[in-house]
Formats: sequence, structure tokens, C-alpha cells
Amino acid sequence: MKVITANFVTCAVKECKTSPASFPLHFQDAELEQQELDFQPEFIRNILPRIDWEALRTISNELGFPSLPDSKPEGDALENEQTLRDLHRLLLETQVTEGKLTCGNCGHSYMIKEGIANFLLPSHLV
Amino acid sequence: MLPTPDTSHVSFDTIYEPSEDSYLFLDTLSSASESKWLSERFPKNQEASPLVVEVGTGSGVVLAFTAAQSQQIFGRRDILTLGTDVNRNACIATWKTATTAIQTEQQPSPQSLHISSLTADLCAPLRPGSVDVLLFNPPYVPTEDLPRLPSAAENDPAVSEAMSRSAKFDNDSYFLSLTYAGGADGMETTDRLLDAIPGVLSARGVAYVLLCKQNRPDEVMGRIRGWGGWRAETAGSSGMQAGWEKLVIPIPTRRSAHSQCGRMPQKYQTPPEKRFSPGLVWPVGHDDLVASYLQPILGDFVKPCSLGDTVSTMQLNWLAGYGVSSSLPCCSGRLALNNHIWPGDSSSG
Repeated sequence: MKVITANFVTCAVKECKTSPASFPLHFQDAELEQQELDFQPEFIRNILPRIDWEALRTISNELGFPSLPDSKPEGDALENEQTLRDLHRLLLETQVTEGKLTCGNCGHSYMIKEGIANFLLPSHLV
Repeated sequence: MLPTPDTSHVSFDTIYEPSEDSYLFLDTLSSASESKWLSERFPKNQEASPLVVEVGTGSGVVLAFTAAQSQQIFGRRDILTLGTDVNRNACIATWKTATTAIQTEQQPSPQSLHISSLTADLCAPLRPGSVDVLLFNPPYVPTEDLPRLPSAAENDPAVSEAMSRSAKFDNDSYFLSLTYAGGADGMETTDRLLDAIPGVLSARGVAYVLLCKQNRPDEVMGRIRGWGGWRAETAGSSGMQAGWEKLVIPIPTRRSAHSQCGRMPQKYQTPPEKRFSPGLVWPVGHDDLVASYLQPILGDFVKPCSLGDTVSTMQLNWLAGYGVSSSLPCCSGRLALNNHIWPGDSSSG
């Protein structure tokens, strides 16, 4: 799974949906893989409006990437190639192949194996 | 015609094999009217990249097609796709189908990005309000019971590898049943998905959900309109039996298109050596009736067959779905032509 996935998922437990602590889910023991993709600045600019910046900063730190700027790039900052390249690498080129995603609210961990995260719940959480 | 994504790497032991309903979905999404609608809904250079989510991806053929043909469907290539399925094997298959199709179709510079395949129940892990386009080809066959959801442990590859042959057959049959068995009216799973739609769609979102006739699409659409502020319309129809309903909120949107209700895994119907490739048969010499119904809709998917050829129940049901049901026996059998009636052979009873 691409790192950007974390921007679109939350805990599968119904009661957690309303808790701010359930987003973002936290990567743990993550094994990463880089897949080289053509750098397309326009794509990054079109994706950025979808990104929850605070959550991405958290994810970036947890995965050991360099710190992101305090606020989401806008205006001139969107012309800064280095910023866009960093985001391209983190969001699109980086794949999480093993590890887990853990909910900050209920503490449940979703296992990631061979790049596939398993969000099926054990019976006591359904 | 746009190329269908390659699924030759997929083992169909536990995964729904791309069939008429899948292909109809591809045709619906890439039709002139839907692509125009979607291009206007998500205009390039004005709207952020859409997130397209397919629930229950199976082989991944629909999502892969959407990703690879994003220029034709959305008028833009910068789309993100994400798939969910309760079967981990289907997730693995979808990842490969989608990434391969994008690589093949988008040269020299691929842009659509398949971001993940998640093992999950419907939309359970998706962040509220995040989905722009939701695609769902449900298990829509009415059945007495609805199969239970698999657990995380049942999706552990180590478990299935250690199974005896008969246990594996039972396990495969169970996973296959999840691809078609829809419980009462064939709607039990679809109802749960519909319940989730208002929460998961974005403000500009649209959902395409396949309903067949036994699902009572008119009632379902009426119910959705009753939510207040939602539009529900038929986006594509393959005949008299079913269609893709498109479900839309005023700015938000939902839709779907029509297919037919003949979904049963071929595994249960004909021995493997007699399996037919996806596609429909119609008897040579009977084109006046059948071809006029089918060929404009299905084009290359309609394959001629001769009198005496063996056809499967599914194929007969398919023909039945196009308004010729009264003249067809509902069983496998040899095809014979007799005065606009095609009786099966002795097996037709």
C-alpha cells in the first residue's frame, strides 16, 4: 500500500469513527519499499487539496521521513520543486509492505502483510 | 473498444471471474454519456484528484479499467484508486491487475495511481467523506442464507495452505459464495452498503451500484430518493432485467447501471472442461430475435453458437434476462432451434 492510503483510512470499529484519536492510524514496525515513479508536479498539486496536513506530518515522522513544513504548501510554495519532490516520494513512491496500523482510540492494530492491510475485525470488535 | 485489463494471473478458485456484469460495468463507465457526466463532475484543472473506490473488487478488472482508462472516463489521468474486498486473495489479485493495466495503458508516463487494496468489509475502514466515486457490483443473487463475513484469521495464507483437499474445496466454495449470495431479495449486502454511502461519499461524490430485477431497483431508488436530497437514476441498462443505478445527491451523486441477474459461479454449473469463457452465446440462424437485443449492447461479448452446442445455465439465464425468457428452458442443455423455441435436450425435463 502507498503511504497516501493513510490519508483515506481510519479505524474500522464503528465507535471510533467519531473520535479524533482514530485518525490518522499510526504506522508501527513498518517496512518500506520505494517504487520509482515519474515525477509529475501537477499530480502532486492536484492531490494536495485532499491531504490532511497535520495527519501527514504525523505519518511522515512515524515513518522516519524528514520533517514536513508546518503548514500545507500554498501559492509560491507550490512552485518549490524540492517540496513537491519530497511529497511525491513520501506519498506516491513509498509503499508499506509489512507492519501494522494502530488506532489511537481503541488501540486495535491492523496487520499489513505483503502490502495488503487487513481491516477485518475480530468478532469481539464487530 | 477500450482494452479489458488482463486477469490471466488470477486464480478463480475463490474469486469471481469477470463476467457479463463486469463487462457491462466497463461499458457503462466508458460510455459517452457517463464519461461526459464524470468529466464535468470532476473537471480537470479545477477539481482536486478524485478518489475512486471499488468495494468488492474480485479480480480487480473494473477498478483496473477505471484507473487505466481514466483519460477516457474522467478526461484526466490524475486519479487515485483504492479497492476493498473481504477476500485477501482478491486484494492481491486486484493490486496486480490494476498496476499492470495502468503500466500497459498509460505510456509513456503512467499517472493514475492504485494506492491500495485493503482486506475489509465494504467501506468499514474508509475515512468519512473521502470517496468521490464509489463502484459496487454486489453479491446480488437472492439466496436463502447470507454467508457470514470471514475473519482476519481465515484470510491467513498459511491457514489455507495447510488445508486438506476437501477442506480447501469447502473453503473455496465459501469464499466464492461471498461473491454472489445476497440473502433476501439479493439485497442484504447491498443494503448495508447503501447505509454506508451517505457517510463515506464526499460532497461531490457519486456511487454506481448494480441492481438486478430481483433486487427491485425501482423500490431501492425510491428509498434512496426518500433520504432527502439524493438523486438516484439509471446510468446504464443492458436489458429488461437489471441495471446500474446511479445514486446522486444534488451536488453529490450516486448512480448505477443495469446488468442481469445470472450470477452464479460457473464452478457449480458445468465441469471445468466445459466452462465457457465470459461471453454470451446466441444461436446462429436465430439472429433476428436475439441479435437485435444483444449485439448493440454487448458487441464482441456476444458469441455465435450453433445448434447442438452445449450452453450453460448461466448463458441461458442471460438470454432470459433479455426478454426471451418464456422461450427458454432454465437448465443446461443442448441448444436446438424449433420454431423460435430453444428446448434443452433430455436434461431439460
